[in-house]
Amino acid sequence: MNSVWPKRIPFSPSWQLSWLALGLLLSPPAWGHGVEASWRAVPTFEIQARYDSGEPMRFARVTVFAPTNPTLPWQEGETDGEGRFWLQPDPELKGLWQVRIRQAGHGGVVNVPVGEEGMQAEGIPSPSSPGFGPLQRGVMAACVIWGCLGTALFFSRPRPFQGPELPDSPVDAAALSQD
Amino acid sequence: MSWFQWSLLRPLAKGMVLVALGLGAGMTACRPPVEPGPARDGQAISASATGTLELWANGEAFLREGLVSKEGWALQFEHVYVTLADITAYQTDPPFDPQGQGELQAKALVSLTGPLTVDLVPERALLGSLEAPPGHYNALAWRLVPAAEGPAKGYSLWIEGRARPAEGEGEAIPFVLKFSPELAFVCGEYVGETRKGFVRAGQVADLEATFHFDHLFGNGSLPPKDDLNSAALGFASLVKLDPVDPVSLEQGLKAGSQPLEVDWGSLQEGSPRAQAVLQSLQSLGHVGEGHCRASSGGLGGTGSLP
Repeated sequence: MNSVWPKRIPFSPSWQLSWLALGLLLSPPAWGHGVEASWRAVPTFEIQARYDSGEPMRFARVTVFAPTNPTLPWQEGETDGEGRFWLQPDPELKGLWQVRIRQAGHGGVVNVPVGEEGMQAEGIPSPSSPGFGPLQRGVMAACVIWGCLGTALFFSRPRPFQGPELPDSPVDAAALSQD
Repeated sequence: MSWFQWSLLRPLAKGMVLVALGLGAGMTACRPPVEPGPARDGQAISASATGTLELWANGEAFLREGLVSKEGWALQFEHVYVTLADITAYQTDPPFDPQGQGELQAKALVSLTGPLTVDLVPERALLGSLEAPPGHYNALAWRLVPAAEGPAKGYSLWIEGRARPAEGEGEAIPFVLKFSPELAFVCGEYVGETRKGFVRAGQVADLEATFHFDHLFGNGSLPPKDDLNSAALGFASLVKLDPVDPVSLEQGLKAGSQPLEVDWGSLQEGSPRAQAVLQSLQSLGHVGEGHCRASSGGLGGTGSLP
């Protein structure tokens, strides 16, 4: 077969490379399957729900509200077979997160503080003692340091000589030297 | 350290200690008060753009539809009167935890002084609508007090209805249970299908004092050893409480239409029976499904508990 059109298309090695480059450029990007994974640490809170009797609230309904929208649930789920629920809040949304746990006409709420100011290790409420501000904390720390320094100075002061009493008069001194 | 150096530093050290003591005392004195402010009748603490907060009382479906007590008595209710006073909604920070040890710390409050007597049987009863500054009212408190007038005069809780065995044949026995102790309930946030108490300018929000009567009578649909049934008195126990004229339900059945009447006033002051009833009544108050901290203001009628 004596075709005409191949003779009109350049197929020299340099042209082949050009065609290849053009083909790569025109390839749709979806053909690639690049993966980019990263990680970051996020806080996790373990919540334990129990009845007054101590019995765990097993498989109870859990609704989580973020501080930014206290009326729209941020997450819904349920406790496990031991009444536990793990809350992984968005650390960017700082403030009080509310976790509502309900089962069979009984319910309760847990307020979880998220953020630098409110973060604490355990949810033991202590509302009767208001939190101290940065200034108060600084002054308290300074007082403790001053107190330690004062105590150290007290115990490191030079003590008076504890040897035998010196005679008050020359006569007594002479008597002492004869002994 | 030489004696000369010490003699210079000693007054300085004493001064440090005195300054530290003075600062510590000053900080203690400057702590903010933690007690909530006085309640005001329908008056907001700050009068900026306000919304409306409705306060309701609810006896739930147990009263409207009836319930089966833990011993198997089917109870239908005709009137359940409660008298509430000092009904106060708070914005608290930190959120008040009724099961914790902390005191309620209020940022704002609105209050209905009362007393108000409502019948919980027909439907949820509106206690009042208050103009309220915007914010989240996440705590509710009220007192149960003897009514000064009306059908339940002299009683804080009046339960009137009919009882019959849930299984088998039997006539319905009319009964009236009358209680006069004064009780105080301090509750946290309302717990239910939706969150409540968010007052926005120009809008209406609501809160609810909820009474769980299954905590008093028990619930026959639950196992006898269920926590709720273990703690509840039950209907038969309540009827047998009257030491002056003790009757059994079987006697009541024979008596026909004569209503069984139990009056709290006939209970002996501080008796184990009175204590048991008081403990059971203290478990009535809720906010939706959320619990309350309850205390007794003393027995009405014949005396008071220690």
